[in-house]
Amino acid sequence: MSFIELKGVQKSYRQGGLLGIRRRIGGLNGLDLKIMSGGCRGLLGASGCGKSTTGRLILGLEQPDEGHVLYKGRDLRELKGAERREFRRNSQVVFQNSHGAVNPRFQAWKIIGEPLMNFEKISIPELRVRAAGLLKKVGLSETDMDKLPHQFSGGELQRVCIARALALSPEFILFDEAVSALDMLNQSLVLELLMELKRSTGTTFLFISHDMRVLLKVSDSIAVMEGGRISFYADDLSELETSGAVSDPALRSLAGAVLPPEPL
Amino acid sequence: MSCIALEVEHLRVILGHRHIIRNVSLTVPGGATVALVGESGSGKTMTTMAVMGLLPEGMYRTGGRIVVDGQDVDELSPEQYRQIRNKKVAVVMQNPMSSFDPILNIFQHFRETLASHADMERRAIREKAEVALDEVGFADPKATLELYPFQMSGGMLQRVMLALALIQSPPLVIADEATSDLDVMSQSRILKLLKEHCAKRHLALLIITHDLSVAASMADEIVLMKDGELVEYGRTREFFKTPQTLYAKRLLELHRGLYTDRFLKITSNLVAEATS
Repeated sequence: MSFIELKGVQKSYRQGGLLGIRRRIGGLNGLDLKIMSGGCRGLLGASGCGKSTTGRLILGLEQPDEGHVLYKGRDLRELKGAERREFRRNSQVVFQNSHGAVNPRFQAWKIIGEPLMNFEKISIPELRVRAAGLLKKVGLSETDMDKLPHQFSGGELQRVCIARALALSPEFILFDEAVSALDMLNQSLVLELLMELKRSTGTTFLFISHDMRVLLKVSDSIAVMEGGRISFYADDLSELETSGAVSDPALRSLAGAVLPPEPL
Repeated sequence: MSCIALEVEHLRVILGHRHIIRNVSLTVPGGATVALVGESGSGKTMTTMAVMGLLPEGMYRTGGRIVVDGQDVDELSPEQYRQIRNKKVAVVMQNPMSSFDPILNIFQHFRETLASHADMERRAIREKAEVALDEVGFADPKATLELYPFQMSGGMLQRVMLALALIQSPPLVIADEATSDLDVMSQSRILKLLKEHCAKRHLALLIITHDLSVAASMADEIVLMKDGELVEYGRTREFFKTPQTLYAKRLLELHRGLYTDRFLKITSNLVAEATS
């Protein structure tokens, strides 16, 4: 069953302007996308194609102008009260800019513990134990628990954010350009971690990126976006590898823009 | 005309009592491209800040020699140093959004840049700016001049920044992670423009990056830094073929790991389709 499904979704943003001259720009234009449970689903596209808007709709942070976002077959707008709370608990997110995603005055255990405090009755000592376990899971040590965000490097703080996303054992985690701001070394370390978590937790990942190299490394399926809709979709990447010629202009230009690995 | 655009010898920088850059030397000849590579926090950016004499508060250069276009910067008065920064060096920074003044339009940015260098008439500035914007691939330079930074995408702004940097043809261009915030398509476009223009005008280019694929496709020489020290320095091709240090080997391994068999196979399928 699909975990999240977007059906004919339209979404545009209004540009500000004096005297009511407000052009509607960008956004999504009749987007259909099914995110099946399990594994890592890749969403690839250039800047401005609507990847992040899609992500925000999936998380319920924004409403579509037209069309439906279905969570386990039910429209997100219909979810109220306890059901909505359950949806919130069940879908988590990791953003690109880790320093902007955490409270600079919170220590790591508090950052990781915040969702737990929200959803469970839990004492502080218990919380610290849980946080320590989560830190270990993402490859940090227990002693990092009392550090503040600025004491972490970008890669380490991104791990803290991943630990926070894992805290409630959600069924779904969205990674929106989660490794794009990291240097190469940290990028590959975080990618290793994601692949490990994918194997061990069985959580469904949606990995949004503009970099095809990174995306193909972690994903099991791929959806390519262009101009607010899906232009290409392949459910099984191993099949795509052997299936021969693929013609999709958006995918082709994204692949063509990747720099060669070796000097010419 | 001197052949060496930038020479740094045994550079040392301290922050408090700690050396954050120790003994870094590099040379960028005119017309050549050198890539300064390292992970975040390795001292890449501070090396260039030291070159520009713009180290942040609390950091001091404690040793070494910096020669920009044949002039030792230690022999210059602050005013002369400022002139060097104005005329001899151009910097393209990482974050285009914060490098522009939000209340000035693109024309005013050009006017500001050119006015600080020479007396020019408004019309002359406009003409020069239009030519420069045309060169970096704007279809309608006239309309572009009227835009404000918030109306443009990151890739567009980065191209404007490139036009601003190159308009005076400074002998040395420094690109500090100039494409790290952009998507792959804007990145390849900017890098191509940068390479073309520097080659055309025989400018020296110093590229700061953590991405070895950028270094591979752009640089003649690679300087690898780690924790403020120079780890490896050599021709790009040799660096990729026979890295000398364990650290360089590890980085190259990770770098090549990004190009998975799956990626190569799928892209080759795409290319096959394109040519058929």
